[in-house]
Amino acid sequence: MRVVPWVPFTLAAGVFGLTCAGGALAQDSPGADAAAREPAAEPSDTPGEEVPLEDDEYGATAEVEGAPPEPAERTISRERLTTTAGTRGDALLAVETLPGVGRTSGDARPVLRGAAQEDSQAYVDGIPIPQLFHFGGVTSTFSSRLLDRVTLQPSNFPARYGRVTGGVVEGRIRSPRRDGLHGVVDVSLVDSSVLAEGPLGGGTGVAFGARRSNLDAAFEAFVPEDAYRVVAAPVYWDYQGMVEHDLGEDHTLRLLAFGSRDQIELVFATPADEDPSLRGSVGGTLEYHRVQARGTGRATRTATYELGVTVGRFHVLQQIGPLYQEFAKDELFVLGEWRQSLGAQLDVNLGLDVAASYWDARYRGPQPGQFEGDPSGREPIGARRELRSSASANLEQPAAWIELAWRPSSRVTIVPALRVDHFAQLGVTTFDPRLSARARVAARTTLKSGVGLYTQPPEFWQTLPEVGNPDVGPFRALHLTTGVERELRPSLRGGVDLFARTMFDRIVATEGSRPPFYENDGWGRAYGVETYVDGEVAPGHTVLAAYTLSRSERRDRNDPLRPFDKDQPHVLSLTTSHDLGAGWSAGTRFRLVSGNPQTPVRGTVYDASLDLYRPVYGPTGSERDPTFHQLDLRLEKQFRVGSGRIAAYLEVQNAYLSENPEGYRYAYDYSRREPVSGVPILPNLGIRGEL
Amino acid sequence: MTHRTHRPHSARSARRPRARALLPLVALAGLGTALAGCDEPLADPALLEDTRVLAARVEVDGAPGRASPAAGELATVRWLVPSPRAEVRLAHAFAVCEAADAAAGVPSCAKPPFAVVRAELPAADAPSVSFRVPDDAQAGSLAVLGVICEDAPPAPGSTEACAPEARFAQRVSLVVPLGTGNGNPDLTAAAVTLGADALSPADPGAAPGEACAQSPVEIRRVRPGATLRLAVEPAPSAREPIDPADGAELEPLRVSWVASAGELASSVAWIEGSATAADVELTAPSAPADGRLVRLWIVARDSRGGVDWTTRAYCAAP
Repeated sequence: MRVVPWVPFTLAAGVFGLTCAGGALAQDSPGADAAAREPAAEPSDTPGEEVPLEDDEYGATAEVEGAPPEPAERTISRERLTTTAGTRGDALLAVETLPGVGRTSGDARPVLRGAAQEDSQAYVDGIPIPQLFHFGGVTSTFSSRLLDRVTLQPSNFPARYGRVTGGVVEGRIRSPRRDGLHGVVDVSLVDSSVLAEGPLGGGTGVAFGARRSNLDAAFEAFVPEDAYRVVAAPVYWDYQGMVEHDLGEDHTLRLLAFGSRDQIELVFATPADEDPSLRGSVGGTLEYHRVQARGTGRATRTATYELGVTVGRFHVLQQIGPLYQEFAKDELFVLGEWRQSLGAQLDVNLGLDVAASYWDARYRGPQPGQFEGDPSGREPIGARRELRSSASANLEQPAAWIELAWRPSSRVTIVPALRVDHFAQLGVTTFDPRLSARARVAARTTLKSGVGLYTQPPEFWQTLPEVGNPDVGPFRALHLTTGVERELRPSLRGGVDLFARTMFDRIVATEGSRPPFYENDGWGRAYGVETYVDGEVAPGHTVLAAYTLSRSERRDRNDPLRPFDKDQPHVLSLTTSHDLGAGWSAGTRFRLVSGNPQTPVRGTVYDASLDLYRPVYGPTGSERDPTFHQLDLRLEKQFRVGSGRIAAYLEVQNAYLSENPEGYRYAYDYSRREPVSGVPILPNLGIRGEL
Repeated sequence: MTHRTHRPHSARSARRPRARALLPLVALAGLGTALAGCDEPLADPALLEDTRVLAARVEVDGAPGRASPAAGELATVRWLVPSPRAEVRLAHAFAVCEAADAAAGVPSCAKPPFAVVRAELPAADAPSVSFRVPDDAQAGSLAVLGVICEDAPPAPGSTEACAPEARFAQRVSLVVPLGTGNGNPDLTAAAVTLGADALSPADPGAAPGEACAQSPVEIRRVRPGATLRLAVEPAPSAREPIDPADGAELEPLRVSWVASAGELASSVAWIEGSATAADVELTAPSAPADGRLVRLWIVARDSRGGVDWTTRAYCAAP
């Protein structure tokens, strides 16, 4: 009998089809029960994919489960990716509906289990992407239509990921369709996009997508003409292209290219009263590109592999009057995995993860401060000491890991792992042991648990002598999670998770941003409980209800413990989608989230050197914004036209005009303040054609 | 304490944008906040609504044009504290110390103050503090930290607070670079024009808001509601070369304007590059038949510690 390797860590959760050709499967076969419960399938990313076996194998069809997910892993399925209300069909924006995810209020990366945004990383098929969303949150820079699923690991992520201490979000790309030519054209008020895919023959499929914003068409109408002159209205675009070719039955080669660009340029009519540094031209561009060659397949009957080599380019230029920052880097990523079955109870996964980047940077602007927890970061640019610097740096960060999947019984899986990272520019090597376990304690109930160490290097500029501290080192976090998940009924799941994260050696700014500017002198913790219900509650009606109760706190130097800037003790998200029949579908998303902490201003000092009022702050984070709440709606009608479909849709964000104050704006002398309202009602009308 | 009245909505404030930084070190995020439109400013920095500190100027004994004293030299810091009220009596308390090296936040001392100056009795004189720079000063700059109080003394033993009965109280700070390299810009010879006419530096003697149509001093008259360009053109010598060795690049001058009434389209303008003057749109306030005196304070800063100011006035009258 052929030993079919169990391939850990690559399958999405779910039920997989396994077709065995030939012979009969005896009822009392010791493998039968195991096959029904244990993940013993060939590697496949597609639930339901048939895996052919040789003729002399058992002849039967069995339903087997995919590899167990990591203890904190959540997945957004393909069907839910583009239909979540309030996300304009954006799969990565839909991540905010999951438990453990805080509200980001338009920032670039998600807040995962109380971790700072810069402590988490987004990937597309293992490729780090530097910019997840256009213009800080309009829509993601990678087309959702080419994604098979999005996985979120808000903590306790496996050893293949590293260099961050928060969590990871990964979009997994699907294969191009090979059952004929297909296309999508989508035009809305926000942007327009196209997607085309199909077979090229000879085991080859191709897909290409592109998107461009439509914001520039009406942008000037919203800009006060005596305040700004528009040189270049905001424009974003992105593209994705891939060719996938089967090399025989066991190997697949894929070439993938994708990229994104944002651009805007305005001219201030007069210097801003609040910050005279804001004068002249203001704007910038941000773009990145990635090209990857990746091979996957079965190396032997008991081993599979994946090897991807990616080259990239990242460039950002921002300018405000005489101030500027420009970063350009060329990047190389190598990701390799070898998965070997060592029998029915043990698998081993070996991996290599190399990230290298070659930077050129120039900067004229305020002395950078702390990423969060420093209210002075919101003061006028002119209130901080100005510096000029230019630098080049080579960052080479090789890493390797080993992961075992041990199944002492059919109900228990234990995964110990070790990741070793080397940070060449720091001369530091770190060892991060991790351990996760799952145990099926009842037919529909699984316990899961994980503990692990995580390491994150400083930003490259934090180690530059002019700006930072060459002696600053990586910082670390210990993740703990444990929980239970239960299948409440077919296609309806629920679960409860407890989590905790301790952060030590956090990089914090020195008092007053004095030299050496940064030190590993911070500590932090985040802890909480998440609960969720996810699935179909009635035919055609699905729901995802998630609630997280948590606290996230930091200590900078020897200062008192304070709340994290985005500490959100209560996060409630309720998402529904409904098939109303006759081509109609609808969706809702409701969010209720604690307001973010704010730091009060207790007084001022008039700084005659700068002609600015400097606020004297009360305790950091000792006030809080009002509770955020918002309802988003989506309505869609599909029409069949020949072999294609046309859909018209309407999305309304913030349907009942909740004001959702987000911090305060102050008078120039801080004598008065008023709340800043969030995004008002935002409708988006669009039409989509699919072939 | 500070008392201010909220200025009603105006044409100027309605068109002022709320602009925030796109920098630092975050990629184009926050664009929506930066361009959030034209929120009503909560207070107009170009309007003097109450007693207010506008500037401080360092003068070195024996070289009053110099903005940076050297070790061992005697220096005086004079403060510009105008008020819309006719009579203002100010008290103050200052501590002078070597400044801590910091890139952000309220300036602070690296060492205990070497001079503490208190004026307990409120007086009509503008606040000032004189001190001798220690011969052994090691920091690159000094910090002058204090408080200015109206109609009340500073709180006992404090350089940060006024007595509770103070009508106006403001903590202040000034960082004084040490050395001999930078001079104060000089607005003495600056040409200040309103529309096509020069504004005379002659003091009309009246307080802001008082009748001015029959002023014995010749004063520019402007119809209420009229909009004119207010311009200042310093003498060419007001801008020093940033690098005296090559002299190619002149220091930029930041010009701040404050009016006791009416509107200014912006509170700040820059003279930089090849520009020789700065200007701003001025709208005269309403006025009774016998006129309304409007004072203007114009402050120039060279961003290296050099400061000068000049005052002008016009009469808004039908």
